[in-house]
Amino acid sequence: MIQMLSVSKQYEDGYYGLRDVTFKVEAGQFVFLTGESGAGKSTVLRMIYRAERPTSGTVLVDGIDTAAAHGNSLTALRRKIGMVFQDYMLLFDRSVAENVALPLVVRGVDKHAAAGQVDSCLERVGLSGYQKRVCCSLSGGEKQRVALARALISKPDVILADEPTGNLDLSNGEKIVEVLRDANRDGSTVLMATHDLYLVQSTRLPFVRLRGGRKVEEGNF
Amino acid sequence: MFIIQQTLRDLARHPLRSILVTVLIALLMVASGGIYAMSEDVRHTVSQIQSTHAINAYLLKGLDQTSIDTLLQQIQQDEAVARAEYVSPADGLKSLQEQYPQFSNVFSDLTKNPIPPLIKVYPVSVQDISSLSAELRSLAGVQTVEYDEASVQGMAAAGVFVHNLLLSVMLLAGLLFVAGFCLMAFGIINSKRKETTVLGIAGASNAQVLLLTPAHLVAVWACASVLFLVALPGVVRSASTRITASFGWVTPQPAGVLYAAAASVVLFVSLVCLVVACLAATLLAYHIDEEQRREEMLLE
Repeated sequence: MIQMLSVSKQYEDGYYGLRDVTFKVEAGQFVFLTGESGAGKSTVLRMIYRAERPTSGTVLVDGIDTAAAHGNSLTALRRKIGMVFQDYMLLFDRSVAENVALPLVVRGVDKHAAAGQVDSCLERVGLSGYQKRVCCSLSGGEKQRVALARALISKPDVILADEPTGNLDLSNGEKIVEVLRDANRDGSTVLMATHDLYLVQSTRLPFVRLRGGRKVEEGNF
Repeated sequence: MFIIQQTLRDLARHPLRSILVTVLIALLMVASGGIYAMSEDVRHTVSQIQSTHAINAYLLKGLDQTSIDTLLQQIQQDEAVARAEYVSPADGLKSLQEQYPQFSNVFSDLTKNPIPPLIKVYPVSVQDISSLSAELRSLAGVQTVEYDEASVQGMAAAGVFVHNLLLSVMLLAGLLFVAGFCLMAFGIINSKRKETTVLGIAGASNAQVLLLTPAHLVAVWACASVLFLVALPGVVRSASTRITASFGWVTPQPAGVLYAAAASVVLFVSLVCLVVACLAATLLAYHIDEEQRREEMLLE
């Protein structure tokens, strides 16, 4: 499903964000991407949804070379992917329902059909009845669950989560991981970046560990 | 559909700002349209004054009537001549008496008519008056040629002044349009920076993201254009009626034609400025985005 083949990323100042990173995430897998801050986790995720291009190597998503994607093919690639960020990336002046419905709105889904899907998605993340709440009034855990609902609503093939539990307490973090695991059971491939080794150990799921832009370990606890 | 919905939502989200910007752009349009309409009137006035300029071709005394008729015919056939009329010495003296009635006793004491026979020549274009007078001077039977050179030059200068004034005003209005639209576009792009990132994450296509700002600008421009089209007839009318003059200074063009011309010029110029501003603001915002992205990556 996701393949990183000898991927390197060198910035203009000569600094390497990634060096010769190779790993594979099979369809339907849940894989953690671990490492300290600056290890290159976010860079890997950005390459997968093509916010960046590798300097060398290939990133394949469902067999598509992400570096070659542009225009409609890039839109199609991104529509296969649901993204969750540590800082939520929500539109705080809009309601929960409007934020969650955004992927459907850009796809031209009918307003009433979208409303039904928003309701069921919010129920899935434990936010039933939050439809009309404005995002800026929510707690950190609630915001992250709204972001998660937005990522899940279009039933993406791949979910990329960049430190989604980084700003949350243990309880809220566990809820987020639980929802991601549910989505994984429903068929989505999940790649979650985290520096929380305890979380990785406790779930006993496959992981890829990065350090200084290099892959240093891959396997299961 | 998505772009229209987003644009309407953006306009409604800050109603006071949207109304103020729309009114400002409409005012600029109305001012430009009004100046255009007034310049048409001034241009007409200048051309009317210019059309009264004539060359006096004084003929040799004692020229017989047949020669005068031949000469008049020859002058009338010239393409540079709009019309030519013969003024006999008797008619000339009579005209002089009518113009200066206070000197009637001087005229009645004259034993001999001192006025030479004259052909008044009206040129097609006042710009050709100098070459036409030289041409007339070379004709056999013509003694001397005169015209009011100072007045001709003054009116020509007035014509050039009006032309330059209109160009300057339109250029200034164009620059103001571009500056206004650029500021607006840049403001929108900046305020939407996070929204466009979120839309990208949500799977919006490049067109959906890129067209949001131009769509917003076009919506504001369209609202301003409606206000402009409603207000312009009143401005044209009041500009044409407030000044009273002894001569017809208002352009003979029908008000509808003048209105349509002013409206189409202003709408076209403002639309071109809108496109230029959109491109400039998008390029600038893209450049700033790239710089920011690079900085963020280096920070990480």
